[in-house]
Amino acid sequence: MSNFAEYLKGLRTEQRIGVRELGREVGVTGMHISNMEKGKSLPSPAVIVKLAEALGTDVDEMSHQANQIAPEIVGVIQNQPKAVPNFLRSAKDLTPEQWEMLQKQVDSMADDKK
Amino acid sequence: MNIDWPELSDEDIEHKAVTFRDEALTSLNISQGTSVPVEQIAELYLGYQFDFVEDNGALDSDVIGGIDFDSNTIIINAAIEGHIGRYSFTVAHEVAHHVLHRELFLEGRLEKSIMCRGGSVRPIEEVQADRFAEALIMPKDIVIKYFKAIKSRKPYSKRARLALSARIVKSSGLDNVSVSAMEMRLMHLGLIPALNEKMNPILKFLISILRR
Repeated sequence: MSNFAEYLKGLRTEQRIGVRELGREVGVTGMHISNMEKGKSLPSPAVIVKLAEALGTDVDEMSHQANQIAPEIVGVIQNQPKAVPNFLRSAKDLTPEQWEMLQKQVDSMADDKK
Repeated sequence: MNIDWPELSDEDIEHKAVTFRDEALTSLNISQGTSVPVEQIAELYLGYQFDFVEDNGALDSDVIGGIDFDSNTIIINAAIEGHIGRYSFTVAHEVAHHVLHRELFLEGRLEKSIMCRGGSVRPIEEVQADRFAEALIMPKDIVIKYFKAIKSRKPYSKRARLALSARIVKSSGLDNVSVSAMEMRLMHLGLIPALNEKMNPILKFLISILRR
């Protein structure tokens, strides 16, 4: 069973939501949910967003578990096709502490913009 | 496979269903509302997983569900998933097999096999599972309460029976129950006449006069 399969089943059973019930909430069939939980299929980015919402979890974490990138992030990359890859290349060796500092700096810049 | 299934009275089955539902809901810490969460009972209380199969030979075309006691799997024909009533009843029916028949089935079978719901022939174990499923997802007290709240003449025609059943499904909040399942439940509880029961001819005559 894949990581995502276990992750999804764990979240769903923890919240006591039925297979069909979850399917209805996110607009797919119970069969699709069941197949994802057996590792037979993977969710589309749009379904990941809905699953995260229905299960009250972080969309980035869910995307990571499914080896995917959230559509919102894909949009950012597509809007800045050079800046984002350049930035990520430069930042790839930063320590967690440096990432945290960077995040604070970016948050502050975003707040100033508002 | 030739298993000598024990006879169970309607009262026995009703009692087993009530006891099972109470235990399951208590264990899951779910307060008894109206709609009975059969999916959660099957999966979280009994430990079954669901397998949805399309009409590709895994199940006979007239079979809508099955239970595999070896792999703890409830098999659902994907074609019925869109109908909440049929889906819930099928899950409840498979749960019934677990409660009523699992032990004997595992003792009596000669090879690996599953129990299935569907087909035109209804052997005793299938009839018992249907009765248990009815009692599980349509609690007697709730059905009677809402039946009494609806002032209705005794329905004899199919149309009148279904109309009454639909009203009870709607008013009771048993929203995972189909109208036809409710009709059967009402009949088995003796609240509406049996299918072959005819209206008293004098009463029928008087009603026809009143309708003129």
